[in-house]
Amino acid sequence: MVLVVNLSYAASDNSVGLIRLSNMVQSFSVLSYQGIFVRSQGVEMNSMKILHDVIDGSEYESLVDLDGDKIEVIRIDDSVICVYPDISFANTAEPVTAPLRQFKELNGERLLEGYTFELSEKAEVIAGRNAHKLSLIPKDSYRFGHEFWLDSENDFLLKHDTLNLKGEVIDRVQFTDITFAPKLTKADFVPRLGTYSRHIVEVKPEMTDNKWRFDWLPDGFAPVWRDARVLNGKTAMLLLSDGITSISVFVEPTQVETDYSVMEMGSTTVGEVSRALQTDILRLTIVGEVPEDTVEKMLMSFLPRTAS
Amino acid sequence: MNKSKETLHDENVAQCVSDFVDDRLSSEDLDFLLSQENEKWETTLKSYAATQQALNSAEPMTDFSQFDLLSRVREGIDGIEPDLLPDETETSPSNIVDLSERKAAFTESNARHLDALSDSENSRKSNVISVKMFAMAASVAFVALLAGQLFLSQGNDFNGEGLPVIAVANLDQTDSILDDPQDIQALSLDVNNDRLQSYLRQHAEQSAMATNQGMISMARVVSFSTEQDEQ
Repeated sequence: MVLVVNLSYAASDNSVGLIRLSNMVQSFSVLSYQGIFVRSQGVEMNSMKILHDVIDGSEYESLVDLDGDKIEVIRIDDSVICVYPDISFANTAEPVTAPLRQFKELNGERLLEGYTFELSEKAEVIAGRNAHKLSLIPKDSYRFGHEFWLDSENDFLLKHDTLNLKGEVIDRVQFTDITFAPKLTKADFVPRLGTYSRHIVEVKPEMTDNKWRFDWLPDGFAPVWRDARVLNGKTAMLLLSDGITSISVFVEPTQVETDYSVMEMGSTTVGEVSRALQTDILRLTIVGEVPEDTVEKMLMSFLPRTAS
Repeated sequence: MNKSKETLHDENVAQCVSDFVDDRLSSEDLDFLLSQENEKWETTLKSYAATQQALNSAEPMTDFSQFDLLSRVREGIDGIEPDLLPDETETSPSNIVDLSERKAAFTESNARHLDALSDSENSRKSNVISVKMFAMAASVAFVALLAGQLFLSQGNDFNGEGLPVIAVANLDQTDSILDDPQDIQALSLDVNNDRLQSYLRQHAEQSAMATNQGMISMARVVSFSTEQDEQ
């Protein structure tokens, strides 16, 4: 009887959690807000200012790095402008190349394969607003846990912790100040005087057939793109996601076989191996916010697709 | 409009306080910070320390109002056993603080720092080195590690004895990667490799769209240029 009750609670948390997470995703593009958040990873900490509004039917968004070189990204619908402190910096900095549109639908089925949802009933105060914690507890050791603090009124994300397998925080994003409906105008999304702006033209990425497959993937992970993206004319990139976490796979030809090597930086793991696959030697590199075991196991289960 | 020398000085001290709390204060900047008046900068230091602790620790908050942080650092340096320090040092990069030169250089540093204020914006970048994703060369030297968080994390029972020396180490001449020690499990890959840098950036950009956290997840991409530049 107790088991049945617990299961019903779990099912309820999963359902409510998915709804609130879906609301969170929607809130980024629907709400009008202005705030400052801090991102910390290890001993590194960055503060960012974010503005968002829908004005005359267009979506305006701005993200400013308040530390270091104060790079700003402004998005107006699908147009992206990178703003640098001066032209010399702009000439040396790597431009942002990704379109900033987000997926607006959450794949709940995929998420529930990898995580159990737990919603805290106790309200906490984050950036002066009441929030409830939604925990995504991993069902296996192949992914990290996540804790989202969602605004009690509108489900906006006020704080996000990524937890390692020991439950330790390895990456944190937290608003320190947030205002909703701040009455922004188009003038708030204009590059500052004295800065140098560059309009990012989205180039349609070159795609190629995905010639590879994984013999094993963590539950819930699936390709984001049907095909592979071509980088520098020779490297193929695949992107996988479980809805919250993503893993990139880079494949390129090389001359020699090398052993598996790995590097961990905060929540990001990079693993690499070069080995003969059919007639070619390929260097496989995996980058993702997943534990090292996941990267190693994926590298070892990477295979070419066989002709059907 | 040019900033006054006093404004530049205050901005420089504020940056030093921030770097101290972040454990990435250079040797020269620590000298400079210690030469400042306690009363003026204690409040800033305590507020930064409280923010850092709130962001990075699940432990109950330390009541920083109960002790004098800058004096604590001074006491710590004075309390170092001379036997722990090396006879000669050749380098003191980044957050590796050469304590043997600390006392001798102490009085000279303030004037030197003020002279350098006009170039501070450029020189800071070369002095302060990101401890994440960075490889640095180290000469053969004994160095003592001194970290701001150590001083900030001790409670009211701090007595200044033996605490500042986190480690006294003999560094060899091979390149070593500095990072948050708990983050490093294996270091076979060279993160300075251009190809890996490109892959990390591609991953950050493309995954920002797939993680359903809106533009907030772009924070990693926006700050990526700064990290690269520091290298």
